[in-house]
Amino acid sequence: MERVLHPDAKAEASDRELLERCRAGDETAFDDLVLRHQQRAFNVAFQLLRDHEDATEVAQDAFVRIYRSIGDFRGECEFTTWLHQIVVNLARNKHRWWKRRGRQASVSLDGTVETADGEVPVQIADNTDAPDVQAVRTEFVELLRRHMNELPRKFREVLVLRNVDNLNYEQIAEVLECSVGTVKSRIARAREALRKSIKDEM
Amino acid sequence: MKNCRDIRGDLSAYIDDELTSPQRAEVEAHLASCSDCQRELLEIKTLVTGVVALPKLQPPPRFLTEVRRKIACADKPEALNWQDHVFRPLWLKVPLEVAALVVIIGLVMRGEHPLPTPKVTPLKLAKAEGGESAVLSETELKTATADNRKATIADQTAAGASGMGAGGADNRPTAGARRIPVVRGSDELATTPPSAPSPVVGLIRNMEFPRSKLSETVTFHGRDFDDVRNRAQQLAARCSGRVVVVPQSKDAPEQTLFVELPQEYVAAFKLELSKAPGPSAALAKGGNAGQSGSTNAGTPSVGVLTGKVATNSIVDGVVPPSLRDDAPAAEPKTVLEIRVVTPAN
Repeated sequence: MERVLHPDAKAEASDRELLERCRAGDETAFDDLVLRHQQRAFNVAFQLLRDHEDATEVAQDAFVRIYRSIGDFRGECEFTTWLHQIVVNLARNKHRWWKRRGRQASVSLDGTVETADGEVPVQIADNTDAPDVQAVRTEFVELLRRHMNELPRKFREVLVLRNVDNLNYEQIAEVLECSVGTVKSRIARAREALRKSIKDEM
Repeated sequence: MKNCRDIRGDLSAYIDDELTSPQRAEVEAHLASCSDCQRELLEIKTLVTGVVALPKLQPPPRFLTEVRRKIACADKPEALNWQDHVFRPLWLKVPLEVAALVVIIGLVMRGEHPLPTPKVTPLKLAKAEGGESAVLSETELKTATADNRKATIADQTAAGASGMGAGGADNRPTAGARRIPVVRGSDELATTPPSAPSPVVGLIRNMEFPRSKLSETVTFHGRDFDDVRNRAQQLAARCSGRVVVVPQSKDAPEQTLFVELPQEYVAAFKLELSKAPGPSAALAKGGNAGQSGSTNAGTPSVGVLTGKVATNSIVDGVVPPSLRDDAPAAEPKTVLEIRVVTPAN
C-alpha cells in the first residue's frame, strides 16, 4: 500500500526518520538532511578554519562521509553529534595539513571568497539575534574573532561548539569523545585565555 | 565554603547553565557578597555574547549539488588510464611480463652472438697523404670495385646458424632472411658499421680498446686467416697503421683483428685487402703471404698506399698504447674490426 505523506510531515520529519528513509534508499531524504544541516556544518567548519573554501570542502566532505556510512550509523547518538564529530575531525585534518605547510588561516568577514562562480563577497546569514547581541557586533566582535584565531585548537573547538553551535556540555563531550568534566574545565580555560588575550591588547 | 578561585572556576558553567542546583546556589550566594567575582562574571558574559554574535555565514550556493557530485564521483569506478589497462588485469600482466623477459633475454643473447648486420658502408675515396699522389679517384674506385664485384646476396641468418661463410657454395637468398651485399674478389669482403653488437666489442673493452675509435666492422671471407692478417699488416704498415690480432683458437671459424690507421686510408685499405695477394703481399717482411691458400687472381696492388711504416705494427693480443684514448694522437685515426671467416673444413 502506497504511503502518502502530508507535505508538512516531510518538513517535520526528525533526523532519525530521515536517516531511516535514507537507509531505505530514499535519496530525497538525504537531500533534506543536507539542506537542514548545511549551514550548521559550514559555520562550525568556518569558525574552526577561518577559510571559506576549506570550510566548504570540509562541510561537503562531511556529508559525503555520512552518505557513504549511513548504513553503519546505529543511532547511538544524535545525527547532529555525528555530523559535528565528522566536521571537527575533518577540520583537524585540514588544520594539520596547513601546519605542515606553515600556512596561517585568517580571512576577513568583509572580504571576498573565490568560488566556482568567481570572486563573490562572503554571505552573512540573516541575523535574527536579539538587539543586545546586535549591539555588541561591532569592533568588539571583530576583536574577538581575531583573538579566537590565536587560541589553541582545543580551546577554539569547545568555544565554537558551545557558543556558535549551541551544543551543551554533554553533546560536546560526545563530539570530542571526552568527559563532561573535561569539557567543563576546557571551556572555562578557553574563555579565560580569550579574556586575558583581549585584555592584554586593550 | 568555596573561595573566589573555586567560584571563578564554576562561572563559565554557571553562565552555560551546566551546574547542578546545589552548585548553582553556592555560586549565587558567593556572587551576592563578592564584587570581584561579579565583575569577572560580567566580563565572561560579555565574551560569550560576543562569541555568540559572531556572524553566521551562508553556505555557498549549490552546496547540495556539489555534495551530490562528490558522492557520484566517489561511487563511480576510477577512470582507468593506459597503465591500468596494461598492468591491472593479472591475466594480461603476467604474460606481458613473461614476454618482456623473453625479449630482454633474446636481446642479451643476440648481443653476445650477433648476426652480421646488413648495412653496408660505401667505400669512400681515399685521400693521398700530402695530396701529391691521389691514390684512387672516385671513378677508379668504382671501376676497381666493379671488376671485383659479383654481387652476392648471402643469407646471413643461415650462414650465422650453420657457421658457413658467405663464400660458401650456396649463397642463394632465403625469403625473409636478412641480406648482406658482399664484395667478392679473391676473397669476400663485407663492411658494416660497428653499431651491431659484437662479441668482440666486449673483448675490446677488456683490452681497453676505445670503442669510440671503432668505425666499422669488415667481414672478410678468406681461405687463410694468416694470409689476410699478413696482408693487413703490410697495408697497415704502409700508412702508419697498426694491426692487433685478437688471440683466438686457430680452429675457430672466425678470427678477428683490429687495424688502426688514418681515416683517409680506410677506403683504400679495404679495397687493397679485398684484392688477391699480389705485389703488395710480396712487400711483407717475413710474412707468409706465400702460404696463402688463395689462388684467385685479383687485381694486383699497385702500391697505392704510401706513408710511414710502423715499427711495432704487430702486437698479438696486446693493445698498443696508441690505440688507447689517453695516448697522444698525431693524426686522427680510426679502427677497423676485421672478422675473417674461413670456410669450415
